[in-house]
Amino acid sequence: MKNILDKDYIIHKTLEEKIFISEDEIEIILAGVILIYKINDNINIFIKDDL
Amino acid sequence: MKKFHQLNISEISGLIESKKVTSLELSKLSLKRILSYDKYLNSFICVNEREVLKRAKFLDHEINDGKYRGLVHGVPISIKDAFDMLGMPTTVGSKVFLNSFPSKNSTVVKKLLNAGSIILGKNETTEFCFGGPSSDSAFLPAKNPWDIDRWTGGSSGGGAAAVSSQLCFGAIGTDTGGSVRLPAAWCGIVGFMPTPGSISRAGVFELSNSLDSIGVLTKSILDATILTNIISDKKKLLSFPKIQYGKKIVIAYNLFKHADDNITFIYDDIYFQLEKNGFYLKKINEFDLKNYAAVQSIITVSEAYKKYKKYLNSKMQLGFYTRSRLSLGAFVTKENYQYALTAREKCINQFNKIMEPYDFMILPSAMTLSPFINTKDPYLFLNNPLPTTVANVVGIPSIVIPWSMADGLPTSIQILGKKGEDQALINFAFFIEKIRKKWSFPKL
Repeated sequence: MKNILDKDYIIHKTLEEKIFISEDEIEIILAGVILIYKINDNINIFIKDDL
Repeated sequence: MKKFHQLNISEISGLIESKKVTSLELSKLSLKRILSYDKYLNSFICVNEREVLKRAKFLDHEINDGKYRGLVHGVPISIKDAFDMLGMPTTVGSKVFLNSFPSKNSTVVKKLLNAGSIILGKNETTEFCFGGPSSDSAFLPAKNPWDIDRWTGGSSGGGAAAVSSQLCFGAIGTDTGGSVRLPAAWCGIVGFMPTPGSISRAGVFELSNSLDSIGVLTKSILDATILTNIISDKKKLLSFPKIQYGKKIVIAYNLFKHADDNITFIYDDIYFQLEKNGFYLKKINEFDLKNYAAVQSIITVSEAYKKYKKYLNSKMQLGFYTRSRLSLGAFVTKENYQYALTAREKCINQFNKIMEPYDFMILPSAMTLSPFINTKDPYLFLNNPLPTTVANVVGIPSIVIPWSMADGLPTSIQILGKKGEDQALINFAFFIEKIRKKWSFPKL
């Protein structure tokens, strides 16, 4: 099941990974994770491009 | 007549050998300039004045005794705060490592010392050599000597600022996606990353084992050749550069076209100069930088996270900028990482196919001029793909050369060569340096 990318997911994942972030930093991390997801999507498209 | 600090390594070394200037005089000059100007630039995080003066005297004695070690004998240079050097902490700009004193010298430092150079101190880096800018590192961020409201670029920004402001004659940095070459571009100096693997990384901070490389920051191509030869693993990686005409060059025109106007304008100038000199030129419109930058980002974030995850467990450790970048690694799965490695292979194949009929590729060093230092975006490089990432992903040599001035800031071009063909790249860069207008440095 694909995780929904929102603040709750960031909180859940950072707790699971024991990463310390304060409440006001969650949104900034979320913005970075959205970027990373987009980059991963681009990579998937790139490698499947000529298959 | 030029003052001593305005000379290149290739010029000052002759004066040292012929005893027209002593290493002690040069060291005192560098220390004086650091004291006067570095409070505005933040290019050094530590300088060991006593050791520097002691070593300078020793090296002068050697020359008086007829023992001249070579081109960097008695020449003051500096190293990034990512290289282990006895007597100085390797902090990589982090409060985590403020008291991290190495037990031995890195291989690069050993080679520099054996060659007789004087290592003045350590240059500022963005925390963990990771992206940037970051205003909450252990030390203040280095400022661009052309405009101190502007950033140097990172992560080897301190070295670039120190060389550009002529506080030292050259510097050594690390480069995972452009960390030597981007600061060189924005500070108006030469930044050279030889074929990855040419220089030992033993005793150097690791950000990404797959992509990390070592490079040099200098005022000229000849100086880049000299410093690279000293620190490379191969006995004589490079010889004195010589111009070779008739080479075939591909230019990534679409990148110039989509860059800031000041960068776009370089294209016509370069094209005209090379065409006039009989080079075969081909412009391409479809060079896809996005894939190279994507691969570089995922591999770096993933490998850095695996290695430094433990430092994310408490607040007091890392600055927020680094934490926010490093944390992203938690969101890159093993599958994502594997895909990035597969994509890397595809990038290499695609690049080699493009380059098959050509000797070099010319592309921008950066898509903009140096940005303001108060940029708050922790993901600046994720949002803005860097043309410097291509060389790290493909594993080829790359050099950045200042080209012109625009709005009071330097512009530059980047040249990519072929794997292992560093000499050919240096030869071509040497030619570019010759056809460029006379270059000067910030008047400090």
